[in-house]
Amino acid sequence: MKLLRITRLVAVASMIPMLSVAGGASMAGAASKSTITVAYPSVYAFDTGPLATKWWNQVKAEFSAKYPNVKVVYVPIPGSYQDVVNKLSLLYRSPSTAPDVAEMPSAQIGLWASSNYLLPMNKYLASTSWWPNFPKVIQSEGTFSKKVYAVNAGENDSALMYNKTMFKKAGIPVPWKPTSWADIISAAQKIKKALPGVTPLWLNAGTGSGANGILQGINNLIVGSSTPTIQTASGKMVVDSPGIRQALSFYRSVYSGGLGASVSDLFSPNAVTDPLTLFKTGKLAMALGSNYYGGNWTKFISAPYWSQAPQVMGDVPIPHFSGGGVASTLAGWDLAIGAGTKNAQAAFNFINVAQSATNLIDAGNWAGWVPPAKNYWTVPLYVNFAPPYNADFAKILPFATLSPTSANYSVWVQGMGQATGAIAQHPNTTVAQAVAILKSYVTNQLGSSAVTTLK
Amino acid sequence: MVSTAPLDTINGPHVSELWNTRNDRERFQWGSLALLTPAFALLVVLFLIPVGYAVYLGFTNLTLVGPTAVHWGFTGAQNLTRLRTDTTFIASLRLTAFFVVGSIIGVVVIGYGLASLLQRAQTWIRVIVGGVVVIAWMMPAITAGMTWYASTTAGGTFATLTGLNQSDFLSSQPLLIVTIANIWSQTGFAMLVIGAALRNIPSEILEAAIVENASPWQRFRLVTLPILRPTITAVVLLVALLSLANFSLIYVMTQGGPGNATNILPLYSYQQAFQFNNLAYGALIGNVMVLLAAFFGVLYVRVATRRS
Amino acid sequence: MSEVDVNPGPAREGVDTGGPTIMPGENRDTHRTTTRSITSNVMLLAIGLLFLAPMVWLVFSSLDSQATWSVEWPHFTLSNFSQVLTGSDLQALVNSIILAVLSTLIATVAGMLAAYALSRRRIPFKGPLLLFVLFTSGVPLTILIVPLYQLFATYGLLTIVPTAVFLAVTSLPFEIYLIKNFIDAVPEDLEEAARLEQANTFQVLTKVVGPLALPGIAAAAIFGFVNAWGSFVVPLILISPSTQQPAPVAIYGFIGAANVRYGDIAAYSLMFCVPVFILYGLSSRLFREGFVLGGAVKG
Repeated sequence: MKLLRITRLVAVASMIPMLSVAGGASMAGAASKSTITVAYPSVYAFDTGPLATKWWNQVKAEFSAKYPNVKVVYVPIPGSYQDVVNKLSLLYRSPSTAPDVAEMPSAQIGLWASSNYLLPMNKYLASTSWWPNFPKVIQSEGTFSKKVYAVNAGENDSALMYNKTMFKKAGIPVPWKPTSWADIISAAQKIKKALPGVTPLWLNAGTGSGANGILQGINNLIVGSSTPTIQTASGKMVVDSPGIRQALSFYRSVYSGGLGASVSDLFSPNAVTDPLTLFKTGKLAMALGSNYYGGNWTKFISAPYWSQAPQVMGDVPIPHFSGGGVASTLAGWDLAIGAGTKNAQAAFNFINVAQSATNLIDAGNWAGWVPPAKNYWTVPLYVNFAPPYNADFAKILPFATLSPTSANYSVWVQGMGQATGAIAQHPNTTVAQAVAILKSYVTNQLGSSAVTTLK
Repeated sequence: MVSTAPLDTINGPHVSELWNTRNDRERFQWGSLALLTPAFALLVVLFLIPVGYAVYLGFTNLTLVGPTAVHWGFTGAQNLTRLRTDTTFIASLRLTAFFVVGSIIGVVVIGYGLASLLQRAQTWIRVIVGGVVVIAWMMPAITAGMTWYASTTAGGTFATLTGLNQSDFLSSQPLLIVTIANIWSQTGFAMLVIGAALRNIPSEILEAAIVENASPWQRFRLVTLPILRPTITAVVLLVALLSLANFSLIYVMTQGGPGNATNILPLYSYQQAFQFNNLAYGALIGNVMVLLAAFFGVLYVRVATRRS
Repeated sequence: MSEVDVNPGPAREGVDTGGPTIMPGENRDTHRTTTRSITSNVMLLAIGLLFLAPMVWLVFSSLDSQATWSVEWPHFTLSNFSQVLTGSDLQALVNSIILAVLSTLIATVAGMLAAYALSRRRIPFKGPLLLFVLFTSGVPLTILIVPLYQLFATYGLLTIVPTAVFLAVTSLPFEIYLIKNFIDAVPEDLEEAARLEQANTFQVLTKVVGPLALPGIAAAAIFGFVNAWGSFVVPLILISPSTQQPAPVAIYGFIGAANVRYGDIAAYSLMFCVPVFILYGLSSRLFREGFVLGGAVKG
């Protein structure tokens, strides 16, 4: 029951800032103790709720030992991705509830920064040892107009996961090294011929899996296509381009050729994580997969536990449309400081503690993330947690591409979900029809001045 | 022919209450205010004021996050213009109409059927079947949604029962399935209420009808139905309002999908406000929902005050 | 409880009242009753089974150590139940009870007082007032949450008790409407008699009107309870401390970013339904007495 006592203590403590008059935490008072509030997703981000609590308590203990004059009050946010985002937005709207530190999804940083909810951290970052070790693309994740509003605490990227045994049976040379999307299709076709009861390729489709489905699905293709732009520099959403057509054409080949999963599986609310079980039960041969697969199969996480995974499952980077290369999307969870904070230094000290090697690698292992700092990728604690996947996905990270982070992007996601869903459900949908679905939906929602077509 | 004389007094007193048309009512007592205060104080502070604010929001450009989350203001009819050309909204209206009307018909027909069948059934059947139906009503929306999702997806209960193991009813007929799920979750209440009203039909009237050789259909049309009319109208109103506001059930089952197939107004409003960040536009869609609810309310009053 | 007697009288000479042929040894009465009863019973059982069908997944998965969305014969285990009835999840169930009971009490008491006044007293603009109250319940809760959150945040009310009050408010319109209809059906002579004996309003309410309208009040209370019990979005947004969150929020705790514990969801959902079953059991006696909606008056 120790957990219960701690959370109860935290709950009581967290009520105190709520009772303070609007205008900020007035806990400083006469005592030298100051308080910072830290908001984070209580069940969604980490692999399990208890692991989240464990990690956050670990960080708090370390911080309190180092800075005994600062009290940390936790604000855990329950619910799924959208609930966390909504709740954080509401927390920020009210000065009395805006957290000093918050863990937020990378996709939302731009929005919160543009509302002036976040404090730029440039001056604090200069003196840290870890910030220079972040690849440029990860540093840019929380940077807008040269100001760093958030620093990454863990990333997700994608690669092709495939069942080596099934591939061998189908006569495909292992280790598999596809250099074009056509290679993927031909491998899928060979699987279909040799193993009729197995789904050849898992490819997210439909609106049910939301932004995550698009991120771990079609965006991996678009960023490796001939026109990877989804949102132009001026903020217009791309609704038609050669790259989008290439990606949708890939979808068409998969679904009209019967190479994909059933609509029932694809449209289920937890579709994005279905491959984990499907691989284990031998019903799936390949997937556009994510870095967290490896960790989930370990005994420690057991979601589900698959002891043979390292022997059976191989991983290989997703190639560009043609001619090799490495394509992957990039998204993660970041830490940011609230703009109205009264204890900016204390808040940053907290972030600094959270970003230590042990903490960040533990977070990576327990939440299915790749730690953002280059020098953490070869640390045995990380590598040996889920060999060989952790090391392999870390290597892909510098090549990964960020997705747009604007309000209009969520409309584009919905439109693209409808387009891919239409192809998956009605495989005779042509590419032109799918593009028309995307175009008409997004244009209807955002107006024609907010969309564009690339040649 | 069956006399309709007793029916006037049955419908009369209750209905004119609504419009205070009787002249022999007592004068206004100040004590009445004390009785009304707890409920109306709560309603005004915690409901009507936020509702008024939400209605106002529909005509602004407030967003959840972004520059206009902090600096926002009145934009007049701009959102309305957008509403008129919003094809998703228009589609959502149609979906909502199907959902609400379908639910009303299903609940009333099955509710009446169950109520009248239960009257003639053995006690143990009455207890068990009545219990199952009422439990379905009492089940919270999240559980009901997950249960129905599991039952109608491929490999689910209905797929297994009909032997078509891989058919995904939910994806192929999403609107129909969620409507059925809604009917399932609301029939219990209708059954209870209509059942009680049936029990209160004076037996003399029905016996008189039988003596005068009225057929079962005539008995239903000329005796049962008129007496039940107030009850059924009330049930229709309740089902209409509850279905119109139905969010959790459909959200858990389909999130409004596949595509926009089950994106009824409450879900579209949520999508606009929270997923697409357009709080103001979502609020405007909410205003449309209030108008629809008002429409049902006015319709109810018209029907309830019409004398047979 | 009176059964409506649908049997015709003895067959009259030369009059064909329709119906099946009478067999030797039967008279018209018993034949018709038996056939009707059998058909009714069979149809009822069929409908009952259809209503029961979706619940099969719930029961099977809660007992299954490898539960998924599909319905399969379970790998029997009780571990799902023991897992979910611990620690914070159990706390969430307790929170749900607190939330629902508080909300129901507030809504039913306030609703009863208001319903009585609206039913018996002369109130100006009563009709439009009632309608207005009813159709404002059409506003989607998700939109209402935003101004409400700002209000609660400003006054530090982001805890379980103010949330219970708000949930009571969301049930109030329907409860007032329901209870008013039941009070309308109670004859006024009893109240007049009580007033002649110098009873004040409180006594009239508790000793005369209350007991007679009890089935209706119970129905409204159950409606309010179920409304608060199943509420997810409201507590999620309006309750800040995670130890005060109710059960529906805890259910989402079983759905992580990378895995879903279906068995736990089913087991927890079943446990979540238990208080509601109990409520039905306790109140079914009340419903058996029969209650009235819409003004049908006996005799």
